[in-house]
Amino acid sequence: MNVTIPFEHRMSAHCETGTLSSQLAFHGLTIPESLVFGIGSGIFFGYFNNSRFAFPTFIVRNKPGQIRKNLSDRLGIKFHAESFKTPEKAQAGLDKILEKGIPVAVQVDFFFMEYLPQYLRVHINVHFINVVGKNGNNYLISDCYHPKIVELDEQSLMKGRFAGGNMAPEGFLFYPEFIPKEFDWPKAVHKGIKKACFYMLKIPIPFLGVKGMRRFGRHIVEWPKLAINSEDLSHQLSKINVLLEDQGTGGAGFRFMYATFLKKAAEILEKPALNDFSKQMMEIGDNWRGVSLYAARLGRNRDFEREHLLELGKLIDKQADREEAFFKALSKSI
Amino acid sequence: MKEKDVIHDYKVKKYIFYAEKEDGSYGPVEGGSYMIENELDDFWFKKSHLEKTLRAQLLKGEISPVQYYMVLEEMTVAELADRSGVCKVRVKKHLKPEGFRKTHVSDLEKYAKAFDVPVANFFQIIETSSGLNPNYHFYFEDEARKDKVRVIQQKTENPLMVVTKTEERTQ
Repeated sequence: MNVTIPFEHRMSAHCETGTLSSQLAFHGLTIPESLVFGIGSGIFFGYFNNSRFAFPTFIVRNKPGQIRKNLSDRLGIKFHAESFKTPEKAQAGLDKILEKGIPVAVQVDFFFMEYLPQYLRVHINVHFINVVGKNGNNYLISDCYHPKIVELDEQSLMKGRFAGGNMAPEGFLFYPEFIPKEFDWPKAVHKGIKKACFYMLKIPIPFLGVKGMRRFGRHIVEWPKLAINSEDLSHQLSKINVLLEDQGTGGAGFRFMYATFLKKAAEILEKPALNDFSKQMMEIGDNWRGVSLYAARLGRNRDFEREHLLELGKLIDKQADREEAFFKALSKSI
Repeated sequence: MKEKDVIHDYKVKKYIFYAEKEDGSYGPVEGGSYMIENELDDFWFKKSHLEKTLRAQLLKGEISPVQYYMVLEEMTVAELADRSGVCKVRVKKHLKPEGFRKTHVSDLEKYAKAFDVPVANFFQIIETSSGLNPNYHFYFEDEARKDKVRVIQQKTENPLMVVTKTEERTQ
């Protein structure tokens, strides 16, 4: 089978929002990544310390797939979303849609994406890519973390789509089926911000939102007890930086992207006050960068003194205070 | 973040960051990541050291091959059980060398699929002249380039068999 869809490849900061944004652009709706992120209420925080994870970890965005669902609810865009029981059916399903000339977004495990650099290839099932054609036995992949469209063999893609484990993709794919002609942008943006404030402040679970940040700040002093050896601890501390900066967040755990969204929201809602909030978010992001740099240095220097870890915990706790005040004010002003 | 604070002279990988531009607007900017540009050597050092420690333990018979691959690929017992389809209690048993002796071949096949390695590699370590395990060549590609030959493991129609051969390195 040979199909090449004329798809405009774009690099973006985050995989899910980038994939959605390029898919919608293909179907004629130009919507920047930051707006997708904001309307989808992507900003979040969660600290996880349970047996599901080899070591305590944290997230800075909502559940994978949630941005698409929120966007669909708030803008009325209908997506065709499908999971499969077997790899054979998943491949047949994908080929069928490609033959119609529609680019498809699929969920995969990073580990099997052979075109990515080695250090990115870890077992996490939360990556989204666009499949934009097929050349013999190779699929054409537009991955927004990669500078150009690449070829990936059938078997690797299927392994990635049926990796199993946490948040198993089960061959999940989606593409926009129906895009309305007119949108109620102010309503969508308003709802996106309101929900983000709820997620950050009021969600009644002690490790999510601002409460999660506080728990993270308190718990980080205990990390040396949980690590196997000093190199493991160093690796985990460096990972704080990676999770905040490098894993497709646009810097500072999506805070810079959210600041960009708030600036756009000020225009859409015609509320100049949101420009100030945008500036404040940028500052909060800068402070997160301070946290990640501090953690990276501790990791690099194998510096695990209790005082320094306490200091790191304090920095994170301060971030919790800042974000709590920010989202409270944002929630009131909107 | 200001646009000027983004690492513009990146060498390893291009990323997209959101930053304040000179005209005061906010938007995406191309740049390099601090960790990837500065700390990648430390990351590889830790990873290769971990592999060497685990390999020494494995060859002494202190850990089982399942644990070797599980730790290297950063999985938990629950995650491995989920990915392979072997139940958690059995995975725990197979992590110990004495438990591994009683593994069924059908279980090994499932593990091999989850780790993406040939079944044969649960019973052998293939080393090249630079002391690397070819399974993890993709982790240590720069080091592996020093070798004159490269080891290739070709899958066959029989899921239990693999053809291992050496090839002249061209690049």
